[in-house]
Amino acid sequence: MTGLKTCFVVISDSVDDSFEDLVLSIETFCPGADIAWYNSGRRRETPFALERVVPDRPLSRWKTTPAFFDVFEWSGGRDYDCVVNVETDLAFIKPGFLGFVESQLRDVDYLATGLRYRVPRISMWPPYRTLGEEREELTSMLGIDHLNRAFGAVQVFGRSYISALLHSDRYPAVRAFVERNQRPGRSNSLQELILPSLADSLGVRSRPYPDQLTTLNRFRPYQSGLDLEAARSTADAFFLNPIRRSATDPVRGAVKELVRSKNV
Amino acid sequence: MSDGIHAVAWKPPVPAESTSEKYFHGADLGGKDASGADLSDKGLRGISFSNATLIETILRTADLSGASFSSADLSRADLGMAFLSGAFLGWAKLSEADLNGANLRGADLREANLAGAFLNGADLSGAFLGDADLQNADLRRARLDGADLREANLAGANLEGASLRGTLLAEVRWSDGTRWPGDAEEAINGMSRTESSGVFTINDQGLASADIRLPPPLE
Repeated sequence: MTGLKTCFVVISDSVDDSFEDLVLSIETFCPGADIAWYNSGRRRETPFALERVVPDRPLSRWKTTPAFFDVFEWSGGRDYDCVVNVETDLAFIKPGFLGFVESQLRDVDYLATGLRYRVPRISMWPPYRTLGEEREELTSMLGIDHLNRAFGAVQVFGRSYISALLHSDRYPAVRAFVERNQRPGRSNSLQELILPSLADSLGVRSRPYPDQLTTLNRFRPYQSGLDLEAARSTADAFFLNPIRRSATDPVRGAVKELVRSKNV
Repeated sequence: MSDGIHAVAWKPPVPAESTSEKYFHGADLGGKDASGADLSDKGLRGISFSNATLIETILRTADLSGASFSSADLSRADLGMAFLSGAFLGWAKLSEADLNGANLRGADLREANLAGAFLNGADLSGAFLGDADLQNADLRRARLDGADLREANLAGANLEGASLRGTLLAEVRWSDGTRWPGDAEEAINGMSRTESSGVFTINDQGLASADIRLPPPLE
């Protein structure tokens, strides 16, 4: 238990067993934190008595960036010290994350896996490459001469980040840019570019998660039993991503067991 | 850094015949688990192992040209002398894999995790290694002619005796522990900037082009 008021926001278009596994793992290993659901699909009922981010809307897989801004506006009316976005492919595996975040937020306002400053213009990284001609428009709008990058899952947005964004003169233009990007043919996974870049634009402090966590929170491949073992013995590794969604996946089974044994 | 002797403690291989899967040219084994299987010397051109789990799988000297290993987990796999020309290995995990002497000409290894991989004498001519993690990889005597390594991480990698003719090295990260070929070391030092103590990045020089290539060594 920490003094930090934290909200995990699950951005998901479906509610299935892996959704439940994620919620249970947060409740088990991050006790006291709030959990909210941003419904990016068409389901109506809210599961597990979670808080619900409103407004929400259906979003396709690679185009979830507007959800983050809906979440920021929703959380702006609440008293959270930080908001953490989570996905249903991941699960928490041991206690300590909230204390870790509390210690990090003493001197930063934004934390992300693989955060890198100044994406070089020769980069082939898909979110950057697919932004194409809009890159210059984006940097100009943000008032910076570069763009940053980070992996999108489990970003930690401190109160200062969210407040600075919502009160920024640039905010209406940023939202309009994000909306235009929803059109077909525009950048995929824009959030992995715009959210870390906004930290510099807003003048808030940022930091990557420790290097040793980069392979434990990644796009692919799915984590193996060896990876789970490594995560359990790695300092500051509190979650694992991605885990196969199948109930028969041994890693998912092992994580369920970790949660169950903690609750016995 | 490896001394070239593969130090991985191998588990006894699982003979391919004992598994229920069929392994043949062009087969689709996406998402399957063939960890530990012995597929050495097999003809598997164009096979798809996308999202598959192939931990410690033995694919030594197998013909895997044009195969897809997109997002597959090949940790500690034995791919020594395998034929992987034109294969797609984007986002694959190949940490500590044995790729000594493998033919990876024109292979696509974008964002692959090759940390601690053994690539001694491998042929990576024309391969795409953009944003690949090659930390502590053994690249001694590897052929990287015409390969694209933009934004790759070579911290702690050993490239002694490697061939870097026309290799694209823009924004490659490296460290004090990186060992460059003797004929390239001075040039690379000259075109690198210091990021932090013992950590460097090769500059993307030129406004219109990312073509930071080392000149071929004098014959």
